[in-house]
Amino acid sequence: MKPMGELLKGNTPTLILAVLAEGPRHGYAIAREIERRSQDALTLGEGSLYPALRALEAEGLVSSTWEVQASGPSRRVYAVSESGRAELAKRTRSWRSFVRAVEEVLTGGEDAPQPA
Amino acid sequence: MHHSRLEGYLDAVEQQLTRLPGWEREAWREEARQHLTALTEAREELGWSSEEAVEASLRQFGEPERLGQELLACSSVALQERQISGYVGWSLHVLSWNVAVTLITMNALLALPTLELGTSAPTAVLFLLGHAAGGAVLGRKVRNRRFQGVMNVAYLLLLGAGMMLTGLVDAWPATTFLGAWGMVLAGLALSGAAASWTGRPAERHESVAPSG
Repeated sequence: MKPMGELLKGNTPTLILAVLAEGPRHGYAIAREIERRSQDALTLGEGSLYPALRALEAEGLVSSTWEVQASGPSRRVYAVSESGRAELAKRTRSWRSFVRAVEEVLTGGEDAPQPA
Repeated sequence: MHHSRLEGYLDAVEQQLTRLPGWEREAWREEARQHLTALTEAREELGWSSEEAVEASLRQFGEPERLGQELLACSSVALQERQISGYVGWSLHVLSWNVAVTLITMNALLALPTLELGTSAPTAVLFLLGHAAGGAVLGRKVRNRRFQGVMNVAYLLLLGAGMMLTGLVDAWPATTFLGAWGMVLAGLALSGAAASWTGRPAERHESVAPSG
């Protein structure tokens, strides 16, 4: 798997929560919205989307309902719960702290000694 | 072709989900069918042939067996099973720990030959360390100690009742009795503190760091 794929795999639940924080969506729309926001840099395979949605739902971070459509069959729509919003805030803070830490390592750190 | 290929794929996924309730399997199937159809239609609008569009959509969902297994592992049914095994496993650990602490304490204090472990200090220490290590591993794994406090209180009540029924309370001097109970209580408090430490979730960046 490509490095970007590895990064994506570990953070799929966070990305889903971030998309759902804007409003309820069905699975197809969640996947497309992640692609749109990342300008196609992150392509979420549906094979990882649905297990992640199931796990989020089992943990109570996301809920789902079948929404009746004016035309066509009902669609399952996911929405983030209050605890899901709190979890998203926590994960966002952790992610930013993680990115800062990795950045520090990559750039040698603020107090890094200058090479002789 | 279009329809039968999709349904065949959904059948293969559903075969992995037999432990889920029927309504949940049906809901998943309908949801995946709609998603696959939308993906396929989007590609067809871009000029793909029907067969190519279907195959590409199925590839996007991945191997059906693997997807089914992952869906099952993430389901509420699997979560409940893990919680139940966690309660049972941790409860057994707490119970056996309490029994070990009590017997070793009593034996050490009264030199009762009721348990071989308690008559040899190094063996007793090794036994307790081994038990604590096992509890640490289990605590990290299950992260669920909801019944620990209740179990400790119930255990102490049963222990007290047992001591009264067997006449030990009358046979022991008051100082020995209080000393024994004090040591048992201290042992249980210590084991509770150790369990809390070993069972607490690991923090830092685990929730967001790359899994690979």
